[in-house]
Amino acid sequence: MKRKLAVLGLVAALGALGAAGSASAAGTGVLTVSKTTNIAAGDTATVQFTSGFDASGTNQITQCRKSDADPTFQYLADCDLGSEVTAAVNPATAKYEGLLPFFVGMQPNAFGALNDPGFWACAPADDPTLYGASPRYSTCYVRGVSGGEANTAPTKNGFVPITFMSLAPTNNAPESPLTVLLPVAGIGAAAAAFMVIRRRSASSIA
Amino acid sequence: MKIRHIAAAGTAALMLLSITATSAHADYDGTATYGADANPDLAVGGGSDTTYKLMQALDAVYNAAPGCANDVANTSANKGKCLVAQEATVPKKQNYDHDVMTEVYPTGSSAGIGSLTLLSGATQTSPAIDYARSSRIPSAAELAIVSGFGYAQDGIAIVSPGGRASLNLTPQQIHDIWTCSITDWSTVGGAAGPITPWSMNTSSGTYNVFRDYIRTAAADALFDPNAGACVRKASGPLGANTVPPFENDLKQITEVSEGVDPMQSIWWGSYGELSTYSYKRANIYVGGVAAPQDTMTYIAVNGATPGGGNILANTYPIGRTLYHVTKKADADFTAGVTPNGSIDGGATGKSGAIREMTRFLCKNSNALFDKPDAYTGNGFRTQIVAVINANGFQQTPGALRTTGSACKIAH
Repeated sequence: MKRKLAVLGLVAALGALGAAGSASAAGTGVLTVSKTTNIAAGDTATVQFTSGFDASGTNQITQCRKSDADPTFQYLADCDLGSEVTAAVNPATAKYEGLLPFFVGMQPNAFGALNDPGFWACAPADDPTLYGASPRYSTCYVRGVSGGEANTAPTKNGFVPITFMSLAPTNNAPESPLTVLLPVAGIGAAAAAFMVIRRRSASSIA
Repeated sequence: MKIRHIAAAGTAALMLLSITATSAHADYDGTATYGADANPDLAVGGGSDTTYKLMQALDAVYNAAPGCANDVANTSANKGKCLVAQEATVPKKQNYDHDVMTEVYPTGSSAGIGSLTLLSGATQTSPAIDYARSSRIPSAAELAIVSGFGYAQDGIAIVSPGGRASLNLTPQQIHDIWTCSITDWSTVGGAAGPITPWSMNTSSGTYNVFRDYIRTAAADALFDPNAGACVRKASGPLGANTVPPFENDLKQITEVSEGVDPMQSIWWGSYGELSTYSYKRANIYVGGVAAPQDTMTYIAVNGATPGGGNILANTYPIGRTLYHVTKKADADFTAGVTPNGSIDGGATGKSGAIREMTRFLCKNSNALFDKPDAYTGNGFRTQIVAVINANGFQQTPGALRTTGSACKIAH
């Protein structure tokens, strides 16, 4: 029994690796995003079109202020096409993947005088920057779409929420990224399981 | 404490700098005259295929922009004209005269510019055009007669029909494919099969930008993507037809099957058009099925696959600016006007209309328009960017812009 529990624990720990950035809103396509929280300027994420999208053709990734779960979603107004990345097939996974450079602050396509109204920003809630009169969103979304940005069919869309690193100074130690913490947690769980199994086996022999 | 004070002072200095920079923006209205004369004029654009739909959409925004109160009396001799003439010293910031811009069917960027310059035996388009659409920068000889206002950005995508794994090519490999020294996909990392490179209409800016990029990047000043013996023309057996296909429609090449497997094709085209219009990038005869299917593959160049992000950042290797081209008498850039120069030119009639439309495209902020778009409520700069994006393109990257303008101005 304990052996089964240990294996289940290991599976759960490893599963967390993949599940960290995998979600979808109204769009039914499943995206896997390698980083979804504590995003800072200059961060990037690998975005994989995991399932539900076109297996060939044009697959694109953008950063948006809304997902299509919001009935007012309109890709031109709510996604920044200046953030668009075209995904390509990764031969190792046979899936479409792209490296998305996140923007934190004004959308890159909003050139203009003091952040003209009509444009928007993705930023943490405690960012003191005013961004002119532009609205700011502390939760934004990674959008994956097949068949061109204008394709709004739910089966061709997937959205994953992302949040941004707080700018407030804290006394906490610098946070380790999930890409470090999760493998460490997984290895820890595996080691614990191994020790439990070994101890159990040793005591049965004795 | 001291550090906090220094930080506060630094922040204040940065804010001041930011305000100073903002106040230096120019609206390119100049200081003396305007192109508005209280009469609605009709001006016609022609040339580029790539920007045909885009300019029609921008025309629609401009034509509907707020302007003067016009005479609507059904029996008036001035019906449609402004009731009040443009004030000499107070510029109206949209389309004061309710001028009308329209676009004729594409002939290619070079043919459009040629209609304005009449250089090298070029003739006027029918119907006659007053300004040109161009997906390439005007040449030095052309710039003696015309000016170019680069209002949007595109990338040249290297593409292949569906079924082919994503590949990465260097400029030298692209050169060698079109000069027929690389003839099999396996040489460049793909599944074995004969490569079929395609040609393109030489009047198109898309042809010129691709040719010039490879000429520079592969150091071959004589490179011509249409010249190789292995390069296919529009139809018929290899070598039997000398007419290259029009750009940006993959069906033209995949519906041809004489002597080649169209699925082994490689071509180039506008990322904006191909990424936006799935029917344009659709292939025919994929897997032997005679129906358009959206399976086009982008081929990376020097490791970069085109996308809005790297096109806006001007980091995609084959980026190109899209131009609104005018005769200098209609709209030209005058550098000496404080603070950032001015778009000057015609003061009345069709010439003035072209000047005002050019200013409209190149204003870099919503604040430089005094009213929003009457249909969307967006500031006009926001609306222009939305229209540019909706057609698959990006606004001109900041690093390419002429100071104080949303455009890259060549004059």
